[in-house]
Amino acid sequence: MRSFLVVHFLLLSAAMMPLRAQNAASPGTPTDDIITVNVLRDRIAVGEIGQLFIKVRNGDATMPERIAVAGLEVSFSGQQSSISITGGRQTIETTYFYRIRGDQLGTFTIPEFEVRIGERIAKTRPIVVHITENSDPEAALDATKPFFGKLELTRDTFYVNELVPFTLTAYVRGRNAIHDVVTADLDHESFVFRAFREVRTDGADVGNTYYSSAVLPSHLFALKPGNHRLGPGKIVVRTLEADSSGFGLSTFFQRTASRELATNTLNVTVKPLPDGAPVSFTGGIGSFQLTATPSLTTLGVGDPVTLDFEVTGVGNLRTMGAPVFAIPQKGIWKTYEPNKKLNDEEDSDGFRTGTIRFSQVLIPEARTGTIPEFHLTYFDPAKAEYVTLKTGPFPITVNEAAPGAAPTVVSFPAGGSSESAAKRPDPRFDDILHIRTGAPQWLAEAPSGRPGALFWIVQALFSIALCTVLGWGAVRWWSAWNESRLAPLAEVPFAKAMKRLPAAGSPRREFFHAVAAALASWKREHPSAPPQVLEVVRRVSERCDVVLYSGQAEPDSPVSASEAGEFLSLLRRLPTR
Amino acid sequence: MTFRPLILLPCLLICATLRAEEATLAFAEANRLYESGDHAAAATAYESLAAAGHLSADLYYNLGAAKEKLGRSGEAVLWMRRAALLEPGMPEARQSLGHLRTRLAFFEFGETWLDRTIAALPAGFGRWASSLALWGGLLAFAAAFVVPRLQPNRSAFVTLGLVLLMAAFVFSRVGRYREHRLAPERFTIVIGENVNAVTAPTSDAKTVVALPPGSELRLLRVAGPWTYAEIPGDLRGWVRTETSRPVWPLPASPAES
Repeated sequence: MRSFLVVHFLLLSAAMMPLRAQNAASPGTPTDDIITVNVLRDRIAVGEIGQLFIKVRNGDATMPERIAVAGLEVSFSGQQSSISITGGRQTIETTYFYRIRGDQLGTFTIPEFEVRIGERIAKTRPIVVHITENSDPEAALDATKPFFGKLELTRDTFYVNELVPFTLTAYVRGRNAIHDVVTADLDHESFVFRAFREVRTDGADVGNTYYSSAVLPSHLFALKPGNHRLGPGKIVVRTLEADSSGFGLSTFFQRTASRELATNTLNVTVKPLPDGAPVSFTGGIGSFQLTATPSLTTLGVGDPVTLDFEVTGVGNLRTMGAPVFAIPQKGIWKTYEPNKKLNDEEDSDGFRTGTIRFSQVLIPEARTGTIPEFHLTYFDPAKAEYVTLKTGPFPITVNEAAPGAAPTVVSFPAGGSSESAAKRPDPRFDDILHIRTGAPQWLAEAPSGRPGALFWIVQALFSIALCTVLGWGAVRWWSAWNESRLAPLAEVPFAKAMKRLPAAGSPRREFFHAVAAALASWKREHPSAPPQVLEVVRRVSERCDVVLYSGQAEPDSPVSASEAGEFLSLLRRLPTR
Repeated sequence: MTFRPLILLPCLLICATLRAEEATLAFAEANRLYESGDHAAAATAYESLAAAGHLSADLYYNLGAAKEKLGRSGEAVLWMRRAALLEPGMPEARQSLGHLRTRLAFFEFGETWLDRTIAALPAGFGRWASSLALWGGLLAFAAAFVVPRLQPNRSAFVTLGLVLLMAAFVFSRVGRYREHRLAPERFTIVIGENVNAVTAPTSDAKTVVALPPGSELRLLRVAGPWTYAEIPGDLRGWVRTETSRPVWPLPASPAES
């Protein structure tokens, strides 16, 4: 921002004369006009800064900070006062400076506006300003300017994503006139600009006038094809200004002032990339070389191996992706998102060779003998064609994973390398083994899963066993069913009932059922037995009923030998006819 | 009539012995040809023995080695796999296949520990184990309900029967898995050069993946000149039938062999 804040104050004893307010009609107004308005140049390049100044005589005016004009930026930048005496007549003149800047082409009118000067109201006149395009870098070399900026590109036609070096240069009249560069800026929504990291100071003659220069190199690439206008760029520099006090001590009392320099604009044409890019095209534009190194040569199924790619060359490395398999390896090699490493120090600037590194983690999912070929396609703008770089295949030994081996954990360190698996022997042989020359082992038949005679014999034996068991059970069930069917018709005598008593170890339900049946037979055969004996029989029958019908005892549990013996002895001691 | 088998048995034994001796001599002659550098003649001699039905891991390995010397790497892989089938863990076959694997980068199916375990079981394991478990379960059930003396332990027998029936089911599934996924009859080996698996059994179909010689395929269906196969990496595709050969059994025709 340019500002002028030089104010001269002189104390005069003369009384202030009354001022007469009058509307200004033209730039060449008589001396008694109290307000005039004009511009330094009515043709201003886009982005450049022009100057509007308003002079007020014999009065203090209240000026607006900004003047509203559609398409122009008009803002107050400072004021300056001076006093002159001509023919005994004293004149106080104050100049108000405004900065004009336009970012759009066209003709604009700064309208008239009212200014209060003391008690009076004065009116300015309309001013017409033309904002013109300044696409010629040489036009910026205008020796009439005390300072200016310049934008230069190495070429005005290039491809999308192609790296294009450019420079912003600040020129300030005089030797060693640039103290330092504060900021530099060039912006466009369709371009990506690398930040300015370097300043080279120099000097040059422009129209027989020596200018100090500060060159800021950088590079850009376009995101969209089409015709674009680049610029104006903006450079803010601090310039050295000599001491104007007139004491001759300018060397010791140098002041710096901040200047904002606008550069020219440039029309560029961005061409789209040709159709038919291979699948392996990953966005690189330039000229590159590719190398790759696997981290392991022997590993197991499921173990990770890192393939480190290094791409060197001149061009746009930032838009480049990692190389890809020449043939998809789904199910054979599992891949992860590759790690990309590009240091600013190693980036290409369009002239210098840069290096980018990719780390691709691969995990074999099946046994295989190689890491297949990788392809990387880039677009060479010089040849205007796609170029495919190839690397591999890489011989590798993939063994079977160890049974029960812990699952592999794949890590992605910042450096892109991964820890190798456990050390394995790495045999190297370049041929098959020699033939076997001993007496061969002739086999009668190849191993086969078809069932033989033994299988069917075993099946037959098992069938017979099962049929036997089931048949025996069926016969037994049939006889029991018959017995139960005939039992109500035939009364079993006590002696036969005693023979049917189960032995010890038989289920309790069966045993006590037989005992109860035997007691019932005895009572039927001895209707006139002594009461004492009948009482004993009744108690034994009650015990049988408790076991059979109370639900308290385990009916299927085996009867113990002592319990069976006790009941058998009781039954045997019963008197019989 | 009753003495005829007794007479035939020694005759058969003698014939078999003579046949084995003849094969051994032919094998030695083929080895001599191989060592003299006449690999083509050696391969022909080995192939004649194999076509005659002689089964030997040594014969198959040597035939694979001769094929490799003749530059027919796919066939070399095929015969070495057959040798490893007859002699599991054959060191020469394993190491030579390792070399060919590195050189050819052929595809192989990955094996899990379960695959290896099941493949290590005897061929008829599934059938035997499932039938024995099934019979055992049925007998346990029958005994529990039929034999009176076992009635006190009926619940234990019923439990045993259930366990055995479940085991029979598991064994039958293991046998089926082995038969359909791991049996050598299910695999074919690519023997041709520049073989591609394609998306359809037509000449203008798109390529699924290029198959290096020696690659393993799992046979799914044969449809005339085309074979639909599973490819390592969970892929499927069609390949020309004449570009691959089954690992086992050997083709009946010597020409195909």
